[in-house]
Amino acid sequence: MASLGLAIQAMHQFYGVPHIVITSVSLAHPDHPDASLSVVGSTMTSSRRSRPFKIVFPAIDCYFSGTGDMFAALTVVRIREAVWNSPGLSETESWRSPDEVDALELPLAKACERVLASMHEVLTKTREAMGRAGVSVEVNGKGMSDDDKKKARLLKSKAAELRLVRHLDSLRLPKVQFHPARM
Amino acid sequence: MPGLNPGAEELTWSLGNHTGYGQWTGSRVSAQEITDLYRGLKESYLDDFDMMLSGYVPGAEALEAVGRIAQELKEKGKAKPGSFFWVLDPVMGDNGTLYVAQDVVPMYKSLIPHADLILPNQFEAEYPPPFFFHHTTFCHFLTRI
Repeated sequence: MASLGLAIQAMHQFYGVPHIVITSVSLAHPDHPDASLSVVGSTMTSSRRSRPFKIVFPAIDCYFSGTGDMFAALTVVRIREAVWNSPGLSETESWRSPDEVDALELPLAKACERVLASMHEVLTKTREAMGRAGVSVEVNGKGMSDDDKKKARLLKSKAAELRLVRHLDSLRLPKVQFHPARM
Repeated sequence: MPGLNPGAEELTWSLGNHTGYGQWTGSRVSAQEITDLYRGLKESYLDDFDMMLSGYVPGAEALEAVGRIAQELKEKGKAKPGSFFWVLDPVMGDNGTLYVAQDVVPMYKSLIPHADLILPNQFEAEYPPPFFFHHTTFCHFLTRI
């Protein structure tokens, strides 16, 4: 965790990127449950110091495709929403919060909180639907022909498609369960 | 979402399914086609974007074309602070596998200083050779703080 904090600091310092979010980080930490992942983010100050925060959320033991794209797309909407809720911020360069804003109060942290809430709901529901459909996770079973293996693999890919359209409410109004914390 | 007016979506590939299936048909959009699409938007005064999201771009030339668009919009927005914001997802790979051409990596490196927000995953943030830092520079930096 300490080295990740330094890495974020270095990215601000060297590249001058105002906002950074590292998605899906596996972090072992005594306070984190075993099967958890974290998102780590920061908005730099005027002197390029980091303001790091993390949001820890439960990992779902399943392969999903397109989670990175979903995270990015939702972030566009939610960062905009959070910035517009901070008076005057949308008229400042790169929407960088004033130096006195604490890491946990950053619009970026609020945006990530909402994005993760939506993602957790959609992923949970996608996983449930895969279970209901009785999709076999067996793609390399004994006695399976190459054609059978290929078909099983392709059907598994299809079942792992995120169920976005069926769960628009999870995108619009997710229940926020995981909150930003200090690194 | 109040205030959000999506303008256009520009695809850098046109495939029947995503590449996670291990097989696909279709084609990738060339750098020239990306540049042409943007020129068309500009000529019809449809380039008044206030946000841009860039994601999976499989080749360095196409990525360079995407980067040029972002930098042009950024330059145009300079007169009015906050009027353009670039979200750059440096899609390179995940879980130990690089899934873009090797020359995409240095291209991202040159574009990142122009982005407002970057969204690397853990693999991309740590990609060797150290993507974000030259090793000695980073060590030097660490000794200074």
